Amino acid sequence: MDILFSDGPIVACSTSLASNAAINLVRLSGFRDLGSIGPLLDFDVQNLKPRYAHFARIKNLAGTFIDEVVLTYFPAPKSYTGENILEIAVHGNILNTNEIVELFAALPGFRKALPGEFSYRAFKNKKISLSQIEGLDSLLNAKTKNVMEQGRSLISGELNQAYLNLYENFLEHKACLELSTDFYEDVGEEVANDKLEKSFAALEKNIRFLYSRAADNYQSLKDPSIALIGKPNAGKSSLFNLLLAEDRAIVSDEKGTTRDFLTERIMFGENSFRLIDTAGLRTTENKIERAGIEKSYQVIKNSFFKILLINPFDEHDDFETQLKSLTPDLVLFTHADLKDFSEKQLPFSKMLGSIGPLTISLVDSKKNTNLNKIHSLVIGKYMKLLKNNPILIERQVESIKNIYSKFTAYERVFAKNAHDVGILSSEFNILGKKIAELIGIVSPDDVLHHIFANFCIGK
Amino acid sequence: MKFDLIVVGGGHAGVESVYIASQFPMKIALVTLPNVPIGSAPCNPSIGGVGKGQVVRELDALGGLMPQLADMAGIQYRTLNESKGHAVHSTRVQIDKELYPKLAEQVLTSLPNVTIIREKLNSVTKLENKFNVELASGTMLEAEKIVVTVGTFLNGKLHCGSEVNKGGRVDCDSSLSLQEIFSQVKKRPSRFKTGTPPRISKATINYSELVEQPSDPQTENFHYKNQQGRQIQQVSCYLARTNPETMKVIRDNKEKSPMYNGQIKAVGARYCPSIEDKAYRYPDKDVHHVFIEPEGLNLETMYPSGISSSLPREVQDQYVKSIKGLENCEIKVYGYAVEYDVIDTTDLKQTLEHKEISGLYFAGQVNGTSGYEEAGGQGYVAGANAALSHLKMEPLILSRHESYIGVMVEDLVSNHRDEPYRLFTSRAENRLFIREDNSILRMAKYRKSLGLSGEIDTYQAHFLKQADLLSRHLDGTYINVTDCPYRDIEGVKDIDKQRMTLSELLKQSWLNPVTTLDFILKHYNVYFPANIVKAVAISKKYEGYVNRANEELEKQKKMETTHISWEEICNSSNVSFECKERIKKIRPETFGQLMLIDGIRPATLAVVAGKNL
Repeated sequence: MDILFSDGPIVACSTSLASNAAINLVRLSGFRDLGSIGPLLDFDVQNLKPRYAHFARIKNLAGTFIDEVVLTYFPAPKSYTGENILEIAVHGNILNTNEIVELFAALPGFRKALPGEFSYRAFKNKKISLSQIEGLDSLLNAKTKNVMEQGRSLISGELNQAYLNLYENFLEHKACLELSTDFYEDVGEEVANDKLEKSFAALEKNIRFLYSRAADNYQSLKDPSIALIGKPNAGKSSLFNLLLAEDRAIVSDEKGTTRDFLTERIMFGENSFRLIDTAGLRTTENKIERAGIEKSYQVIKNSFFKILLINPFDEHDDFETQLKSLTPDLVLFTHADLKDFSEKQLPFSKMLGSIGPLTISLVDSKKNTNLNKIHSLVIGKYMKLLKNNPILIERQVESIKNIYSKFTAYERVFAKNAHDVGILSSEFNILGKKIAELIGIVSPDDVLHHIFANFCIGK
Repeated sequence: MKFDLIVVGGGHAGVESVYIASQFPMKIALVTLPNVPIGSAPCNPSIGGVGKGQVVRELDALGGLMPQLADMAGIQYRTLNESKGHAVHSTRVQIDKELYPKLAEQVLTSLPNVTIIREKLNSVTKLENKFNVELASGTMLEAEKIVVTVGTFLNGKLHCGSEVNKGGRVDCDSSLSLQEIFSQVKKRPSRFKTGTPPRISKATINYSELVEQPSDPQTENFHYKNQQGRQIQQVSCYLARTNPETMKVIRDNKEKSPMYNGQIKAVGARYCPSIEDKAYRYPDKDVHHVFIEPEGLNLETMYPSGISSSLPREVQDQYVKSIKGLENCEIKVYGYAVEYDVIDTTDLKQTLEHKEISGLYFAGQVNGTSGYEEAGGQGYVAGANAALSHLKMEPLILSRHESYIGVMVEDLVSNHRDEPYRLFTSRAENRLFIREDNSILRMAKYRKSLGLSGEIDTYQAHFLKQADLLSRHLDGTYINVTDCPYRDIEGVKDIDKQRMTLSELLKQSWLNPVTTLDFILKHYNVYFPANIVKAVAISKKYEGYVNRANEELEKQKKMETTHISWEEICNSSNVSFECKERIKKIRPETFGQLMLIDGIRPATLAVVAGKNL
């Protein structure tokens, strides 16, 4: 987001202009008074009642009729941007809408808004926080349902509340630190110390809670993918096709035909996943192949659900190491239709212990209920992770991790130097900076305001 | 009559201005209202306090007068924040408010280059480079520099119940309005308000109901020469508490309070609420501390801190008598509120000189501050700079990172204040460094820059040398904490390292650096004066934190001290109209000042920082 937007009234069409529609919404923000817009309206702007819909006609400066519209006026500060806003519902023909936008943009001082500028103004005027903007971005541009829901949650839901609480906890503890130095005579030493301890405990609880929701494995939920892993010819591509129920990858008996990896979207219920067929894992002299394998490891690491495929008829000296390094969610034995399958599979099963194993036959896919088992395992893990309300926006995750690490440093100082408020607040300022980064800017005056609002201070 | 400098107003700011200017070769006049004592304490009878004690010690290290007077009139000493770590220790001393102004007048009268004129002032006009001052009697004075320290007297109005009188404080006249005196100076559109509690007869208090707070013999005197003992007899303060009955009386009489019935429109300080504020704003809280402080050894009155009020007399009688221990007390002087004009301090430079009217300086409560110490600190800055400017020397600008006075002056000149300004330690970013114990280490270079050679200057040169010697010794001496005598130091057992320098030892969390260093020096029979041991020991303790803060600061400073041209910013098309308006008012000279302006937009900062004007 460009922070160098200049002030002045702006205008834009806030609905999609990709095709003709019944109605488009043209939005004007930041004008000083309605008088400046009057010349384009066949309507006495003085009669515009805030937050009421009014029927009006738009005309150009020459007085020619342009469109019949509905006006809604939101005077500052009670508007989305915190500035004066006029919303105009116009007929949704692209040409008509563009003409109207141009008309307003040509008014003295007006210009067309840049992308994101309305939200920027809302942010600047403290109508929404930085994390809310990110939520808005998620809501507007989400590709998966859970990211969209996180967006909702950030705008005014639970996550926004969690951040506001963190900010409150921060202010409260900071205020208590200052209270116990500057105003302890007013509130009494005991009360001041008690408040210091309590505010610390509240802050700790909230930071730990947020940190638990910002763990690494949640990142994979943003665009969750299912990775098929295994040696060349283990049957990855066959399973890939089975799951997609279409022939997509080239399946042959020759080892190593899936050089890079293939990706397809797959729906399990209402949730969309990326299904990835990785390159076969093996050592090779071929440069291109090696690059593909390297990439496979990367993709596997970031995957949400990992399926390790084993052909029990192959050599698998490194099976145990693989289990450890790849941490598959599921181990799946292929070639179950071949003779001696059970016998060949036995040694692997013994090694596996508590994980898996599942077996499927690649021949008789239609009747194979094991495919459903894969579905339910994937959905099960997905739902379980979502239940913890993970935080998915990368910047916020990074920020929370930073806060956590500074918090643990502060915690040590708090335990050791509980008596020295000077040292405590010096350390706390470092944590405070990180919290300010997550939430937005925290000014020193915020702290004094908090003290005056919540404590009875007087000499 | 011709002078080099005229100081208008003989309060704490005026006294400090006159005293520092008198140390330079120049002729000074102090013009002050008749019948108002010089350097008097019209409100609480104490000097110092959290954040304020630091100012008084800074004044001492700069060669000011307040710390000397406070010691000579000091009747009860306390160290505030004693258990909160050395960085925030603050001294407060109760003063004999009869003695303090007497001493102030004695000192100023004894200065050969100072003339005291007790007359009301009519007007000040500037003609070319001279100010003409007309007094009420018609006498004309002339001076090159003027320091204005008129306190709450500018158009002052007193409120007690529905009674309203003209005046700057009880039984005193007010001065004319700002416009009448200086037609060129802008005042803030809103007036400020302050208040004071009723005074109680000493003999009518039942002390057995109150908690006694005796003077603390451990607390150090303010003035560097007073290393041992007290100047005069010490007495106690007492702690009382309000109760539900007290608060009920006040709540029942809300419509009689000038502050709540609309009679007073001015803004009071949130940190200094009247008892009405406490009653109405915190309806659930009935118990508030009331510190009963003696006003003097021979004075008949006690000052009940915490119950300032402008309620009618009969209501004051009723609520005061509801407090345990005060049931039979007699009120000698009733509480009142005062409303007064303040100037717009964003019109001042960091020297406290007016930006447009050169040679005119403002200090003290007229600048919208509260507190004797804040007034004294500004008085010093204004007086010293008026003198330096007169002598064509470099101005004295105290950095906010090295002094509380610097914090205050910068806060004042870079922002509008919507309520009276008081110093708190939380206003200082560099709190671990700007402490009471190291005030000489911090201020000596500023004192030296004045080019004076008094007794204090010799003392400070010696102090710095000794402190440096001790400090280098601590850095260079390696010890083993399991050896004698270190193993006997309290808290040493908890250290998980064995070999370290003495400086490192003093940094350990569990140790008291002062007693530890004192113990070690005594063991080896090395003598350093106690104030040097204390300053060095505490400096070592916080060294790491201070260095870290300084590193951050250096980065920031580079940016902040970058000179900017406000004219250029105001001509830029990339800066919003509103920001330009604010910038034009303040006229920031550096990026740091620009950043401190209220309501300045991140976009503007980015434009200026990126030189995209």
